[in-house]
Amino acid sequence: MAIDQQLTADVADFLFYEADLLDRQDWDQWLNLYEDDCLFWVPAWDDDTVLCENPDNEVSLIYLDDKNRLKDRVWRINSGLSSSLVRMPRMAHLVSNVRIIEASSERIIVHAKFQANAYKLDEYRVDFFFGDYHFELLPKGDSFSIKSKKVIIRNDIIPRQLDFFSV
Amino acid sequence: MKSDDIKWRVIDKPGETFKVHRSIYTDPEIYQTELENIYESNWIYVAHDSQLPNPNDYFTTMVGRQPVIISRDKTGELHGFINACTHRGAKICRKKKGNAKNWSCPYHGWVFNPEGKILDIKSLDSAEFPDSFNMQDYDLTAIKVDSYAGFIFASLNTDVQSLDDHLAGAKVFMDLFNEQSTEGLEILPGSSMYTHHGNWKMQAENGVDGYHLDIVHASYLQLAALRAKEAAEAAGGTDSIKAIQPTNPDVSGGNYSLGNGHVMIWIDIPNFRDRGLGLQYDDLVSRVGEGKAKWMAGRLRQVMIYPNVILFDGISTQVRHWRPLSHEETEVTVNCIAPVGEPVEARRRRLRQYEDFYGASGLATPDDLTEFDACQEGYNGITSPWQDFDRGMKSHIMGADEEAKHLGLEPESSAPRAADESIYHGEYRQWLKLMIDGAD
Repeated sequence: MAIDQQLTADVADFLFYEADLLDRQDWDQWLNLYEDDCLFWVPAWDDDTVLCENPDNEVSLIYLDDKNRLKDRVWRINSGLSSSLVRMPRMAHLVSNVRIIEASSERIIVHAKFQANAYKLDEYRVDFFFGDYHFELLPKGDSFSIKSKKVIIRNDIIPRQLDFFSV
Repeated sequence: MKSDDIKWRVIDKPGETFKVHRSIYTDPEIYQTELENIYESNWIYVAHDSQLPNPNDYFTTMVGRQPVIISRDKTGELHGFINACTHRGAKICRKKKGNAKNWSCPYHGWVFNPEGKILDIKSLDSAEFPDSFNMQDYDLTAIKVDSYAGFIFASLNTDVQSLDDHLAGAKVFMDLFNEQSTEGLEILPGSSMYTHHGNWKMQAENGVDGYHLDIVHASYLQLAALRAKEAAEAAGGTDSIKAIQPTNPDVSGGNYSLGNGHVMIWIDIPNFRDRGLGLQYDDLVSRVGEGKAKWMAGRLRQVMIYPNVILFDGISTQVRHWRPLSHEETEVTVNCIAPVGEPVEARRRRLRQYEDFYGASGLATPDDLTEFDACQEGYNGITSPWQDFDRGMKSHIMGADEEAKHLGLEPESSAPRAADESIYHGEYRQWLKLMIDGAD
């Protein structure tokens, strides 16, 4: 299937925009990108090579199957009640290798690679997660909305915290 | 370390005060002694039966600083070995887990079976070993391995007491966990490991600390209540998680000291029917009776088996075990554990509640880890060196309370609130005993 170069460029720009909203901690705009019945999923690894693929019978690191669950996590940051979220890390998300896997007027499946860098003020340390993004996007006017975001973390020993903004 | 260098760091005056000196969290020499006298002299939790269910399965992990293999031989019996070739010391089993009839060392090809017997030495005919060489001297170095209710423990100390004696009162609660299915429990696929700044003993304390719950986890508890309210009002709200909301540990529940440093807390769960096991509550009552069913499904239980594992059965179900990386760094491995054969809906509920609260990617654990970091930093203020575990001392009783008697439990001590800090007396008496027993 020939992939429209313009579509690839538009989709990449949308992914960069999402990453930038996370880095700027603009949570309201970030939430606006998601459909109400969205899925935000970070599966766990079972073994060196085996990634969990069945969230109903296997553990996920994060499994949010509704936009309200994303809002929960933003609420927690804004609440000031969570000591792990009081001094937020300074983050820079790098997104690359954007490839459209499937495109129709109904939906677009996109794979990309990411590296999310964090400077943690509490701990005087730098950490990062890297891996794959699998998006299902819906065309929405001249842009897109996010139906699902699956994040496969390749370096999954977690230094203290992994949240939606960490990947 | 000499015992005189250790003893003064715990002040134990029953009925009056119980204090520990904060150097036990910061002193690298204490840490080295803990590795030798606690982690490498005692039973250490290593795995669950379900992680190596079949003949010739193996599982690799660490006991203290030392790499080990836990294996199941062709008859199903468990064995344990130092994971180092008896030839030149290379780790033999390199994967987390696997199945093999024999293990060939990837360095020079010496071959061993899952019972640790050496089977082959490459080019033995041309080896020109001295006459005294005896191949049978090169079996893998065995360690002690035993299991109770499916939970597997290992010890590097060949003279260690039996696992049965070691577990003492903890066995009652291990049975309450394991008997939630007639087929026992299973570790679900999907393991997570996290690291944090902070001495390992804070893991052993915090997992049985009812006092911090409504402070450290205020955001979690408020969120749980908010979700339930919005879902009830159907104001566009959904609540597929139905988070567990226990009663206030400051005024309810209790704790037990179970012997050999093992301790536990319990609290009632008003919305227990929202739990995975709660969804099958009526079936459970008819199988095990009202009394046991209440303990299994209706009461949060967090059982710390000294020194390195906590069995959580409340918010969801978790096996959390850890190993110290230094006096101020700790590595934690967490798994969701579930009754074998539970209905699909119960399994899904269990998982969603697990992911919601537990682990470094959940809504609760990162806040605990942040406090461990803050404590470790605060402990450097050694000009303020002592802390007491006196909260609850007046109502702490020796022996069994009424609840324990009903369970057939014979604890060393009982207390009437889950937030009482007298629970740490059991842990630190064991700490001191092990540290001094092993001292010069």
